[in-house]
Amino acid sequence: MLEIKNVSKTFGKNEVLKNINLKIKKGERIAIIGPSGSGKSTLLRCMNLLEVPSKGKIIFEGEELNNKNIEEKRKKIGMVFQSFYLFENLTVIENLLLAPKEAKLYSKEEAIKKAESLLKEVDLYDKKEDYPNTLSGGQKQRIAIIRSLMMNPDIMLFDEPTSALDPEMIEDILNLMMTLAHREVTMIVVTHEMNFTKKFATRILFMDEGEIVEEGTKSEIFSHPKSKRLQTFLSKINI
Amino acid sequence: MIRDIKDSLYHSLVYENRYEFILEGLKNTILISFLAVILGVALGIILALSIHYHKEKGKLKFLSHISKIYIAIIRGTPVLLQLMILYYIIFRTVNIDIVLVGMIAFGMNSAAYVAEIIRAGIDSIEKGQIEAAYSLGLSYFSIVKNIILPQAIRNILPALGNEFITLVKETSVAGYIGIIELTKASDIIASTTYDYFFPLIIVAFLYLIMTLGLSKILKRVERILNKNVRN
Repeated sequence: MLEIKNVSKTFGKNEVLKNINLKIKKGERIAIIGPSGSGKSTLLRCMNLLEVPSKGKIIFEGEELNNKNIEEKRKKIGMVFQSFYLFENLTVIENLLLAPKEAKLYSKEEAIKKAESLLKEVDLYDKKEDYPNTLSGGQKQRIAIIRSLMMNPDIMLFDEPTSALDPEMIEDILNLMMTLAHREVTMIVVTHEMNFTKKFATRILFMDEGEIVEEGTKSEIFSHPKSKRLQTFLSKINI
Repeated sequence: MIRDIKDSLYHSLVYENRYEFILEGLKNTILISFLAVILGVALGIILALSIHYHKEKGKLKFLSHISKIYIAIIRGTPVLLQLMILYYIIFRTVNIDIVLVGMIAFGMNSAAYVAEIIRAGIDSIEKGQIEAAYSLGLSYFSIVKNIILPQAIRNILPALGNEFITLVKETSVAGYIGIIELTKASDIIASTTYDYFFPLIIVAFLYLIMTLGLSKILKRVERILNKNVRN
């Protein structure tokens, strides 16, 4: 479904990604872990060309992503950010309806129906006419997630979705992501939540210094880490 | 003494219907200011967006450069000179209403300042919101229309208000090319009566009413736009 081929990314002299190769199949749930500055977020942002790779290519559903097709393809690649980024000038329901309306994805009635049912699902139906600045971080992130879901994406990218949240809000978001996992949405998550990673991921990538150092199932990564770097990382976060 | 004041007022305004100069001046000042604001905002948005589009997409470099040069020239030269160049050089052979020349000159001048204000407004929006919009597959123009401009305009309204007030006052130099606006009208009257007091004071008072009224309207618009959106 998504293939990353020989991707490198440099910022000035700083090589943030070094020749990354990765194939993601439909239905996979991938967690990317690793120390800060290891290139996890940059790799994720390359997957929908928010960051344009310096070298290599991204192939999504059989087509190489480029300047010309990216607008169309992004409709199928959902993304959730650390700092939510709801549109501050629009109400909650308008946030949900904007992208489907511009893409002419549904009729107006269908779009509203879908938005309302998603709002009910995340327990925020009563907030639908509110503006984002009146919501808590956890509420904003739930809205941001269903805003992506409105487009029926084939794949969802999560860039540290709980890192900006208060501890009591984190569980809400992780539960919502587990719900999506049960529906077999293809997901790639950059995260620091190790317990969640164990429950959630079908495959785990460990990144360090711009490389995928090790990848495998949760028992391979957490119980039998092979590389020295992963062992050091796991011992530092002590789980 | 009271008779003197009455006399002066009478000669300044009533005698030979001199108040008509003031009315004509008021009409032209309002007309030039109003149309210049509209032209300034429209052209200012185009200038600001052509620069922003290039910054964002890396395309239309040529247009972005032209906009930057335009802004630099307009901001770097006096408005009176721009007005004179437009009237005595560019429109010299064209049969065009002189008030229209004034309106174009002040509109073109204001556009450069409005463009800079809008640019600051766009910069004040969280970059992440624009990225989030891109990640949903929205086009640049949809993002501009639905997210960037509504937020930018809300943020820059006070600065924009200042620009409009400055513009109204700056039209007072239009008399230089023979447009009868308020300041020129007072000058015409005073130079026939040699009595400057009432023509100048009345006209100053009229400017004050216009600018105070304008800032009141802008305050109200600000309140409406900020309703609900900010704490």
